[in-house]
Amino acid sequence: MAGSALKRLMAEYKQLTLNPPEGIIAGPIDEENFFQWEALITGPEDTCFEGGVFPAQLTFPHDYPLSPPKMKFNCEMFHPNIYPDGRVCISILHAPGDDPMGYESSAERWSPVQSVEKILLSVVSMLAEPNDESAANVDAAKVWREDRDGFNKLAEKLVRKSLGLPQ
Amino acid sequence: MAVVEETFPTDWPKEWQELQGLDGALRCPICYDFINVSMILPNCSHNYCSLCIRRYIGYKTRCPTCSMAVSEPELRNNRLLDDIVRHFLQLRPTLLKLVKASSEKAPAVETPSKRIGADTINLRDAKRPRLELERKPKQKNEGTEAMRVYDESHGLPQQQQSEGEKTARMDNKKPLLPQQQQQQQQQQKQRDGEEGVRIPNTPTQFPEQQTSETTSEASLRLPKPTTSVVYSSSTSAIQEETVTSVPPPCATSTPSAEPACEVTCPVCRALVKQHYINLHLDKCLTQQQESLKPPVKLPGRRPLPKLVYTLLSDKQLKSRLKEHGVSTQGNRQVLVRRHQEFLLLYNAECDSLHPRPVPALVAEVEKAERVRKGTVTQSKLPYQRAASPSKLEKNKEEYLKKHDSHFVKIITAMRERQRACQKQTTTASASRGQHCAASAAEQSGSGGATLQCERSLDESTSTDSEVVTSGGDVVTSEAAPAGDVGGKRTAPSSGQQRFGDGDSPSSAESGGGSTTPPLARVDGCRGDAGTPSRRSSDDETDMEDCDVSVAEDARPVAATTASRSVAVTTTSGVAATREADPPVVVLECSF
Repeated sequence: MAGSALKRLMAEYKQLTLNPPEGIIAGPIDEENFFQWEALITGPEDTCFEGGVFPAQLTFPHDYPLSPPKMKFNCEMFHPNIYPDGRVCISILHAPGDDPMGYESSAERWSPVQSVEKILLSVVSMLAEPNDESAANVDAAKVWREDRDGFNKLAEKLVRKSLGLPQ
Repeated sequence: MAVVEETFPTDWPKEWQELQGLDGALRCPICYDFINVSMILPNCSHNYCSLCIRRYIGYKTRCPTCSMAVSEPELRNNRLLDDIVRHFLQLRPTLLKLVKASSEKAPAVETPSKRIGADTINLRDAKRPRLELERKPKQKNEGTEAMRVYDESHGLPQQQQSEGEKTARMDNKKPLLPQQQQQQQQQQKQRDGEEGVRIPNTPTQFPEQQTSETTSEASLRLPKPTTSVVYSSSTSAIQEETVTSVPPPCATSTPSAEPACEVTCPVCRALVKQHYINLHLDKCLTQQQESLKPPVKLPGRRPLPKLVYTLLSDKQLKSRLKEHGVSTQGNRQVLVRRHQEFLLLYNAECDSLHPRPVPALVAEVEKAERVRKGTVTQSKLPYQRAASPSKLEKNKEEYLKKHDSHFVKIITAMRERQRACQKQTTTASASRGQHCAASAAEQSGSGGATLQCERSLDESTSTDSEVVTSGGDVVTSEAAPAGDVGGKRTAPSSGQQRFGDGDSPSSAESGGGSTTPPLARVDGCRGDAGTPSRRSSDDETDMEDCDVSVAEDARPVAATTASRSVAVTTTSGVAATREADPPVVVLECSF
């Protein structure tokens, strides 16, 4: 099983390096271990996260692609759909059956036909359009809903931080 | 899975998006490899590898692409897709070469669409002959293979069908040749005037004809050639001759033979005499029924049923595994997992036209298990065959550095022990029994303590200390009962008495009871005691074996320390008793 997982991950890596989607870089941290990937995601344009470069870590299970990978941001993030510890909470990363918020339809869940590229693209769109209905970070959802300017300011701070610029 | 080397849809040049699309469409969306034994989901007509979709259905009973509900028994083979994939895979290398060559030749001035058109023309003009040459023999093979494949997949019904056809054909065609013979025979018969005698010579396949021969030979055979005219367009000239020559009499004779008129069988369309039509129909219908049966009994393997593991005892589970020659090692969880994997692979293989032998499947399951284990728990000093020597060297050095303090500790402990051992032998002669015993105990204790630092030695240290304490017991607890004996024997001083007494039973035990001379044993032990320390210092250079060798050595060490403590006590005891009481010669002898 691990063999087929490895094969598929290699195929995905090759595809990602040959045709990288805009604003996304991803690949295994160490070529010895294909089950740990690092990804760099640039904040989408015309959003409060514009210009930021956010590092994230993807951990693949040994029965990938039957089970979804886990994704965690390695930098500080303030976003309704990202847990304070950096874990990303979007439906595509949830295996059919476990639904932490209890409202995702089966069609938008993880299935083996999804790919790393699709995950990263949906994370980018999640950054652009937070879903405050099922918030992983309730504080962020509250700020996002009630004080959009405040949220934008906080996001800008994070962008500067991610680029190593003075606040 | 079907391909050995890694291939990707992106291997095709970007101008050839159509080929990229085709390549991608023939791949399983789960494993990203070309579909291996494709299975179609009947509700949504999505295709996946048999193994992939079966495995996924274990997670969720929905189509991975469109999440349409599906269950495992619903899956159907898609042999056409298998054929397409096989042909594409055979064509792929040559096509890729051609496409790459052509896209390199053509400069990137033209628009892609134009270029594709131009290239295809080029391809057709310049390369077609070669391509065809290369493919022709293959195609021939494939054709026959496909035929065979088809035959196998529909083996039973087709066979029956063909049998039915055969009989039908026989009814129509066969008469041609026998007909001539019969005609000749008839002529002979007529000439000889003994018609009944020759009958057995006629072909046995046509009992109707045989029996009816006596009544009206002409009417029997004559209509048959008319049917053969229809079917035997490619028959030889002789046959045509007979055919053309026969009909005229047929036309004249059929109306005359009204009682024995023939009817076409509604099932196989063969002409059968009216008398026998019912018999024939029965036969025909039973044959047809058999051929109409659902193809349950496909040649090859049947999928195994899934098991409810919670209802199975360990024994039953093991017997299930043994049935197929799968290993029964490990705990229940491992066994269940192994059986699940085997079942998946076995059932997936059942979909294939040429299922691999079961031992191969077992080997694959066990290999996958090993890989899984290997990825979960890594050995202390990972060793990869493929790794370069320099890397191995680096690993070794790292390991050395990491465990340096352990090695140093072990080595110093061993050296101390050796030194103490030597001291004992010298002090023993000076008859300082108590001191010796103390040093021996101390030494074995310190040995145990130092050894504890190595995790793998835990076991050995525990045995070590155990033995030591038991040795101590010998010394202390047995002192009481033995004290009486010793008391009678000698008039000992307080310190030495205990030792001498404690010692005498042990030495008596070893000397009197055992067949092996204690001398040899003690000496052997001493010899062993020396070796571990030496070996552990050797292990400084040989890192890989270090853990193992020390662990192995630790046991002899434990044994030696124990026996040595006994030995030491005996020596001291001997010395003590020798000084105090000369009659104990047995001990001296035994030593």
